Amino acid sequence: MREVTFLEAIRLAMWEEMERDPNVFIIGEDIGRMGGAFGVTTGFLERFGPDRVIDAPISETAIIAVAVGAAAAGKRGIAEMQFIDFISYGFDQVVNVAGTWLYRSGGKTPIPIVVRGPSGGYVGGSLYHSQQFEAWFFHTPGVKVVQPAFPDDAYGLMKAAIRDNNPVVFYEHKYLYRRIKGPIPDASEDYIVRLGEARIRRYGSDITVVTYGAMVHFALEAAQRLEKEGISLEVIDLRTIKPLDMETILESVRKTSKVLIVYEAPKTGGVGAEISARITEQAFEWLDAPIMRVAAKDAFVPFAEPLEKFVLPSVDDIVFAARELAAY
Amino acid sequence: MAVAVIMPELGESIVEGTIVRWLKQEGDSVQEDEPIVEIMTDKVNTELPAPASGVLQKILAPANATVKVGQELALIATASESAAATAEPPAAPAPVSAPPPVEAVGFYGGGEEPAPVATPAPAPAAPTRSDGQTRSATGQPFISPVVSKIAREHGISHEELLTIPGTGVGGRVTRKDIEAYIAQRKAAPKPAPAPAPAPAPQPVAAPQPAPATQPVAPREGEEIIPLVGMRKVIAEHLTKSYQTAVHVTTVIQVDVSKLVEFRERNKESFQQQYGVRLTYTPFFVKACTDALLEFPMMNATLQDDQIIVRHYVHMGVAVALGEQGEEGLIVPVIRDAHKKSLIDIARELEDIAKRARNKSISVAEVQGATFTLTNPGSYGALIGTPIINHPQTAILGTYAIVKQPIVVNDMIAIRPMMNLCLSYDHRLIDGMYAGRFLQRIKRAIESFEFFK
Amino acid sequence: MGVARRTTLGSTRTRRKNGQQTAIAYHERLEKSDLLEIYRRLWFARIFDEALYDAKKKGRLRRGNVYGSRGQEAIQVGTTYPLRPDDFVSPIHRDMPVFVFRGMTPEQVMCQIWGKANAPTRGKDSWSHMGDMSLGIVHSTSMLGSTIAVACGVLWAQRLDGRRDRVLVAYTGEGATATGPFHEGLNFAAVHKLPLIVVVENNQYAYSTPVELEVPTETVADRAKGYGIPGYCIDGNDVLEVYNTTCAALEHARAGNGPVLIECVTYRLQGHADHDETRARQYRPVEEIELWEKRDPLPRYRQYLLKTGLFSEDELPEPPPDIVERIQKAIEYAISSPDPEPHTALEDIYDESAGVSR
Repeated sequence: MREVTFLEAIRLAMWEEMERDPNVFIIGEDIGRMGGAFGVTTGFLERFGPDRVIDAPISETAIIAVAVGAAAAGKRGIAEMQFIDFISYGFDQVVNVAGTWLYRSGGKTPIPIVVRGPSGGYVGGSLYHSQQFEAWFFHTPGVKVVQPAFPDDAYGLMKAAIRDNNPVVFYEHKYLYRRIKGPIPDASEDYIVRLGEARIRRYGSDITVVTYGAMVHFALEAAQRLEKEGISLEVIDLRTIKPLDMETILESVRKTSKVLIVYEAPKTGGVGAEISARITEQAFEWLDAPIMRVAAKDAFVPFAEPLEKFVLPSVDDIVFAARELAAY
Repeated sequence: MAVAVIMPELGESIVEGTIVRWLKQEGDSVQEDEPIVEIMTDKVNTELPAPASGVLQKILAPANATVKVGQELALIATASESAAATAEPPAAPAPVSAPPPVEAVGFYGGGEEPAPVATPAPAPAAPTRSDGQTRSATGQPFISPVVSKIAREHGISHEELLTIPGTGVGGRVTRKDIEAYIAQRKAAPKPAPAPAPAPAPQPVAAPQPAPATQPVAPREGEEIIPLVGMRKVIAEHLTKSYQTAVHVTTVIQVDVSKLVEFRERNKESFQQQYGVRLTYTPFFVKACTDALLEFPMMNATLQDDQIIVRHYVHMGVAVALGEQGEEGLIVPVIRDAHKKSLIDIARELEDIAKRARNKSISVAEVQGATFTLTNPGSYGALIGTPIINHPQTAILGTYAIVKQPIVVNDMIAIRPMMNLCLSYDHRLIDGMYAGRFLQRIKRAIESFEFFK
Repeated sequence: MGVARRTTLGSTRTRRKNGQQTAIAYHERLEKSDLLEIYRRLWFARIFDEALYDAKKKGRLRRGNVYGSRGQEAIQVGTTYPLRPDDFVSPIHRDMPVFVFRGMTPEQVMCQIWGKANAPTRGKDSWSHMGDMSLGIVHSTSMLGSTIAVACGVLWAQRLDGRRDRVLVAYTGEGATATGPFHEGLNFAAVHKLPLIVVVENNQYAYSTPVELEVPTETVADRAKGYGIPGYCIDGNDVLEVYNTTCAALEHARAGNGPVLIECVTYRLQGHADHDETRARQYRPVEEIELWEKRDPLPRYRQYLLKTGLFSEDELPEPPPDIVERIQKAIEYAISSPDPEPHTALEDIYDESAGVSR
């Protein structure tokens, strides 16, 4: 076992996969000589060389397209978005080129790529360095979406995502990069976390909390506070947003009959809305209260601290919502 | 053989056009590629060429008519057999007017051109389940879905539910409250009222009221079973059906030798290739569906004084529940059967029958049928008089296959024979129509052109 | 509703000024059999186009647009003839014959056009949105320009395999050179000296938009200067000039000198697609269309062949009847092929063969 930060876990996963499979390469801005804006690819250029660690021009379309085209020709590309917000430049490549390629080639040409980058707020990153628009890709067929919350999951899911034969958009919450530390298995264990499997991070009996990313940590903190008030939260860390693990969610709903979905993205049309709809469709008779959501306001993430605090969800928001739900 | 002039797709996102004028009249001779009609769309004014040489036999869309892409505009009689086009029905409009007569073709077009994509007929909206769980204006407490479910499972009536102390918002009974109540009740049992042995998903959304009459004490040799649950619902439904439609049953005999032979020869490869057990039912579904498109009154429904004719088929297929059929009858629906292939239908049948039997079928899947198919032959019945599934207009029963001596070409032959019994509502259907409908199905099964 | 309005345009467009010309006459090493094959391929491309227009008009093809390439055959033939079997091509909607020149059968292409179950895309996508990586044909989408960026990835994979000599010929229209992905792709390729040949088929119109509203420079080839790569502007209706320029570009690229841009000046004799025939004669001056009809690459090449004295008239039929028959057969095959089953619309969305996902 090794005790590492969230960021280090991701770095090790990519390193080990590039060692294991010579077809894996990575392309992004400032990832080679500088080791990446956050240092995620420190040492990669020296170890793997410029053909497998490409310092790209400011061309997110080209960065993703190179990964896509190489994947079509048998490689496994990792495309780093310096901030996942910039994926919007290469949106077409993800949604219309990568996502559809398998579909329109009679199943013959899979596109194994991972488009990854730092996401999320709470760091004063403002409009274009704080986004959580995973709903865009949640809504797109042919693309998978992953957002781990703990180092062991980040490690295992990155390995699985690289081995998966489909385009995976991998969100790494920057707030967690260096703040969270945890144990991960040794390289020799070849540990992977399968996509599409949620994990219960805290067992409870009163309310099912479905969440992912940084919000998992917020929910766990809220759970600790509420325990003292006699309210027991069960916290489900989705880990993979798409494919969605409804089985784990529904099993918990049948236990508690009350659901609180927590997500950092703007509330309207977010992933939580779909989860809510599915629970209603598939477990209506198990509900003892309406399904509630705590999410960011329908706004962009502003710069000034009081503004950012207002828009993004807080631990207090989760506590208040849980109290109301428990009393319903 | 006539060649049709078809309205082409004249531009991206063009779905219809208007006939400006015909450049040729009925009876005129036309050459291939010669312009014969002028069409206007919102992007283009175009002259359409004749697809073949011959005589302009019939103009189907007159000047100023609005026509949809793929619609037949005219027929050209050619001198020789032409394989260029076949008569295609126009895209399905709103179900008000009667359709033009369609030539009886094989069930699978085979080597012919693909049919134009018809605009999907408006499917009846699957109603969301309503247990009447809203808070009423008189301030009756709110009963949540899970509380209602637990109450039902433990035979707690609505009246009893109101006596349980509630700790939820507005004094409502929460899940915890009712669970606590049940636990405490177990410790000190009270005489339970008549149980409601209903399976969890109900085919018909109906509440479960307590029996209206006082329970009668049984005499010697007698046993009292309350009429509740599924049985009660079925009883009510059939009473309504029988008292509303004027039932007539007519019978026809069908030689199913080709069907039986096909199944014997192919059931293994079917299982292998499609993962589906091959029964006779999909063939009857297909034959019935095709016949219903041709005899749409069979597929209609009477509401007040309006006959609603439907040009789409949602086929209800009756499935008996319980080992000996003692748990009643449920009718899952294959929606848009007219759009589905035989294999699709076979797959869907296997799936919904399985789920009906293990009670994991949803409310939406047993609603909206336009016609019902039932199979009393599966338990050996030879002939029967099935009851129509209200508010449909007819029901077809398939009966036991029995080898019989029959006359073929003035000689005795032994053939497996099956009776088809059609009960229909005489308010809408007359004998001859019913007879022709049955003949259509008979022809389809006997000629067995399912895989042309 | 209304009839399309006639637009008034500037003067009749004539051929652009030539840029660099190739010094070496590579075509002189072609044998008689090569010259004849080139002739036959030109005719294949022409008949392919005519047969599809005819099928659409007669209602034998009901669904999907036909994007004609009449007049652009010399580009399709001249750029593919000198390629090796293991080179790549990335064709777009006006390059349908390229699929056949690079190894797909006419049957496969027709089944694709008819959206049949046995099409390369199984009926999932239309027209040129297909490919076959095993034949080196890269699939494309409607997102113009994106193929140039994706081409960089395909070539990067070859680099990782130590095959820097494998070239990719990517086709694009002059309008698509205005897109972001075109720029980002060519920029990347030039920076990393990838063996990418960009063939710009400047047929003067992007739908109804004339080239002067797409490209601010005098020629499209001028854009090459921005990437520090060679840019040729040639007569796209002269199949041998196209052939020669392609050979020069291939040498340059295979030697590791980076990408080349070849602008083939030609003209789109028909509408943008079959539904655009009437309008295309309204938003363009008819004299302009007629001028370019006289520059038809097929009779031009035929005259050249006759002048060489290597061929008699009889050896050069117009059209070669066996090709007409072949294409018709392929169309009949497609028409009689089965439609895809409805439920297959949900297939091939994910590939779960890696076994690492639910």
